[in-house]
This record gives sequence, C-alpha cells and structure tokens, in this order.
Amino acid sequence: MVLSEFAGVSMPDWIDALLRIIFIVALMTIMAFALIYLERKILARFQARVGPTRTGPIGTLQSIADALKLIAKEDVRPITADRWAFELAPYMAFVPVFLVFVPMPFTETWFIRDLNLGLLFVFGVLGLNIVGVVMAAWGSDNKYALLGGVRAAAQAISYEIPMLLIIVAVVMVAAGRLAVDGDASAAGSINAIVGDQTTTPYILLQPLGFFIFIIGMLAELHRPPFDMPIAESEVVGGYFVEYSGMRWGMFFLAEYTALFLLVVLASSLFLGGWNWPFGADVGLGLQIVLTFVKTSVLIVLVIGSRALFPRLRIDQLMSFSWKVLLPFSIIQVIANGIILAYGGPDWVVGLVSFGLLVALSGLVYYIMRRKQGEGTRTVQTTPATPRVITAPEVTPVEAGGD
Amino acid sequence: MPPLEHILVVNAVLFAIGAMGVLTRRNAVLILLSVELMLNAVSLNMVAFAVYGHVDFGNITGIVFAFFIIVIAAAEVALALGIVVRTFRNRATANVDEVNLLKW
Amino acid sequence: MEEGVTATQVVFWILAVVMLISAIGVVTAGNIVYAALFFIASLAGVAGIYLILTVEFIALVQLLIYGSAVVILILFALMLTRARERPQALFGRSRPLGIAAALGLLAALIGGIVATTWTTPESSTAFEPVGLQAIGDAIFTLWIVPFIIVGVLLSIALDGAIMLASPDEDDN
Repeated sequence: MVLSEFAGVSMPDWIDALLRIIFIVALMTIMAFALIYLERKILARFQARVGPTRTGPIGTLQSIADALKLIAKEDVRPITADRWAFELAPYMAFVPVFLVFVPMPFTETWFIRDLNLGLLFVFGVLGLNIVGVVMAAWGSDNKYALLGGVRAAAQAISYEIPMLLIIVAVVMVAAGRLAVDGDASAAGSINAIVGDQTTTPYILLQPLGFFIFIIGMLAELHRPPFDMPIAESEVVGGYFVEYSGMRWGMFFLAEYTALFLLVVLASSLFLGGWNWPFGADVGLGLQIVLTFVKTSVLIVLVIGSRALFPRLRIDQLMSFSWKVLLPFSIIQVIANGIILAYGGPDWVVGLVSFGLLVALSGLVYYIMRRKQGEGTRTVQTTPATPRVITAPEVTPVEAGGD
Repeated sequence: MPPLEHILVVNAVLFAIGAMGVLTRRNAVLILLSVELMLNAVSLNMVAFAVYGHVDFGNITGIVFAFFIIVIAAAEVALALGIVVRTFRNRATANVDEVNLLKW
Repeated sequence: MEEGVTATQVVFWILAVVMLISAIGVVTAGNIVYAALFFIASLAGVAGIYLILTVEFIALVQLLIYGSAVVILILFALMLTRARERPQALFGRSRPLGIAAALGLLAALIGGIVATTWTTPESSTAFEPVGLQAIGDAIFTLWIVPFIIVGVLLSIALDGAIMLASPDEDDN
C-alpha cells in the first residue's frame, strides 16, 4: 500500500515486500539513532548539563559516532559461554520487535499491513523477544546476566497481563463505538481504533487504561523506575553484560525500537494517533506531524521518567503488578462490560474509568504513606547471648606411672 | 492447501515423538515439554478437521477446541511446574524415577 | 487436489520438517535448556501451520500463550532446578522400550490414517477463513459452559501454583 502508492507504479509482490522490509529497517535504525541522541540531550538538561556537543552541529551526529565505535569493536564471546544460545540470542531479541512494526498506523494509509488482529499480533510477537533475553542470560554463563535475565522474564510476564487486560477494555469500548457505524469486528485493528477517535481520544474514555498502559510499557521496556533487569548498580548491566560490539548494539537497537513502537501504539490507542483533533480529512502531511508530535510528547515523558524516579525494588515491582494493576484492570474490564451491555453513554465509561484511576492513585498513596520509613526501619533482633566457650575437659593424665 | 492426510500424518509423527519423550525422559520438566508436544499435535488435528469441514457441529467447533486446549495447557504447565519446583525443594531432584517414596 | 504441488504445500512441508526436527530435538537433546529452545522452534512451526490453515487467531494465541508465557515458565523451572550445574543422565532405563512403544504408536496412527478414506471437502465452501467474530460467537454462546469451567479451572490452577511454589512458613 504505502510504497506502491509512493512510486506510483505497480510492482511484483516480492519486490514490494522486500522494499517494505528495507523501509522498516532503515526507518527503525534512524529512529533509534534519534532516540539515543534525544535521550542523552534530555537527560543532560535534567541534570543541568548540555549533553553531547562535539560531533556535528549541537552533537547530532553523536549516535552515528557511537554506532561506528560499536561496529569497529571486537566481538567477544566468553570461553565458557554456550555457543549457540549466546550467538543466536541477539537475533531472537531483535526480530520480534521489528515484526511489531507491521500493523502500526502512522497516517490513515501509511502502514505495512492493516491486520484485523493487529493488537493481538503486537503482543503475541513482542512477547517473543523475552525468549532472546533469557537465552542471552543463560548462554552468557554469568551470574549477573542470569539474574538480570530472570528478572526481565518475571517482569515481562507480570506486566504483560494487566496490559493485555487493558487492551481488552479498550477494544470493548472501540467495538461498542464501531458497532454504531456497523462493523464491530474491526475493533482489533489498530487503524480502525484510531479511525474512531475523530472527536474523542480514548484517553478521555479510558484514563485508567492509559495510565496502566504507560506503566506496563515502562516495565516492558526496562525503563526506570522499572529497570531492575539492567540496573548497573545491582546486576552490572543485566542480561547483556557479556556482549560487546554489534551484538550488544542489537540489544540496544531492539530496546529503542520497542520504545518507539510502543509509544506509537500508545498514541494510536489513547491519544487519537493521526486522527484527533483534526479528523481524517486533513492531508497526510498533517497526519504524520500529528502522530510524531504525540509520539514525541510520550517519548519525553518516558525518557524524563529516568531522571525523575528512583528505581523500585524487585519485590515492590512484582507486588505492584499483581496486587494493584491486575485487580484494577480486571475491574475495568468488568465495568466496561456492564456499562456497554446496558448501553451506557460514553461519558459514563469515561467517568467510571476516571473514578478507578482516582481510586488506584489513592490506594498507592495510602500504601506509600503507611510504609513510609519502612526501608530505614531498624531490624529488631534479640541481642546475641555471648557464647561461653568452655575449654574441653581435659582428663588429667596421671603422671608418673609404674 | 495440503491434503488432509498429509497434515494428519505430520501430526501423528509429532504425537509419536511427544510420546517417545514422555516414555524415555526422566527429568520432570522434559516430560512436561513432551506432553506439550502431544497436546500441540492434538490441537493441530482439531484445527485441521475443522478447516476441512469434517466436524458435525460446523467449522468453528474444532477451532474452539484448539483454543481450549491451549488455555488448559497453560494452566497445566503452571501447576506442573509448581509441583516440580516443590519436589526439587524437598528432595533435591527433578527426576521422576527418584521420586519413589510411595513406591514399593 | 490433483493440480500438483502448490506454493502453500511447499511452505507447509518446510514448516512441518522444521517442526518435526525440532520436536526430535526436544526429546533427544542432551542439554536440558537446548530441549526448551528446540521446543520454541517446534511451537513456531505449529503456529506457522495454523497460519497455513487460515486460523490466524489460534496462531497468535499460540504465540502469546505458548511462545512467551509457557516457555518462560519452563525456563524458570529449569533454572530453579539447576539445570546446568549437575550433568546427569537425561534418559531413564526404559529408553529402548519407550522408543519401541512410540514407534508402534506411530505405526498404528499412520495405519489408521491411511486406511481411512477421507472425503474431500467441497473446496469452494470449506476453505473459507473463519472470522474472529464467528469464533467469539461460538465461544460465548454454544460453548459458554466449557468457557466458564475453563475460567474456574484457571483460577484454581493459579491458586494451586501459588500454594505450591510459595515457601513454607518455617523455611528460614
């Protein structure tokens, strides 16, 4: 669709497919470069520095310099590492993330394929990259890598569940709205969901959904405050600690690509993507500007969270997912089901979701207040009783003799 | 699409491989993996019959069955791995032939 | 199906071969983690065959549930049971018997398949891809009772797994 329209000529299917793949890889590489540069600049501003300035005008070529360094670097494999797992892990982490690009709508007509099961596809395929992470962790034969990989896996499957439930809630709302126009079965397609947000972005209908999606996104991407799997002060960099050169670069690229794609997904699902507030009638140029403005706002939010929030502990992370986010997302799905089944208007959906968000915030605030100072609590133990060391009884040897 | 017989033969081979794993392995986790292979073969069969229209209730039934099989397999994995981890903690082994306290 | 080999069939056989070789890898690999990784490849092959059978929904559910959740659980179990530190025999004593039984099963199954005459479906109607909405309708109307039972089963399994895996009160 996108490329043959651009060229204005018809081409065989396999050339079309090849061009799309090249397009994905090129765009994603450029996006990753831009994101790395942006992250360094934004973080520097948070810390009252200026960030990279030397390479190119205001440091814009810094990422390319980094990439050149990575390519030139020696590719080391530890001698005790498991050969196959170690070598294949970067690809297993990298390929699924790039596949997620396929159903992402940038404008009304710019996407690789508009899949009818687009949302399921995104999460089904994105989940596979954790296999690469675990392969890297196990294959490196390194205790810290293994710890990081296990943390990453636990985190990924814990936060996938509330995220998926929230997606279900969003799809319920979308199906209810699309059914008015006739075709509710299109609600699994991301582009159809964006197409429905001409007047109302779904953040107004599902504010709790947006909140949980952003939290889950941070956790899936191992961004602070959920960066225990790659925390340098705890597991010295996590599952890719033994990697160097281009293999390390592939993990890096996968992470930034996933960041970009999930941010595009968030802006499509909740902020109206290319559609809100100008509608589908404006030109493609304005649509792509809209998408990128919304994406950029979210990216600054995500990068800024790295400077703003301290890291959680791993047990806090797991409890937050299973004890707070999961119940609230289940309640959201049930509430949506009840409201939509009785034909409640949109503002009721939005109000209930907002009420749930307030309840969640209140609960978290209450827990934090109650646990305040718990980390510095002195551990009460019974004082150790001094151990009395008695010399072993020495049976006196009778001196003398016969 | 390939003829139905071809799909069935492939599934039968997959099922037999899974059965071989169950019968020959002694590590509980690997036995579980082999059981999963057998379940996969079965659900593939269900879908094949459904798509080729060999089910009395219509095409959907087999697909719904495959869906149920996948869901139940997930539950089964969670429980079985809980048991394996518990066994390992108590007896320091994950081999099924060493867990023989009730055998005489 | 007399019009010769189509591209779909070629893809099917490639996927089938990948799936079966990985399955053999699962049951014969000498390294326990390799077995789990072969298992992933085998699952991917199964998902591909689902795609060929035009049931995208099941293929994606397969990827979502098996590909990430089940595989991660299994890798967890392998690490918790210290797969790497203790090299040991992975096969029981009954190995030859097991292989023989599996071969016998295979022969019986294939014999049964070959002996049956399968009616060829009317290709125009039978191959129509099944829509997501149709699956949803079937699950939530015709099969609603099994669906509820599966839901109850899942919650029981969740509770049971937590009970089994949580440490004892007096562990430390």
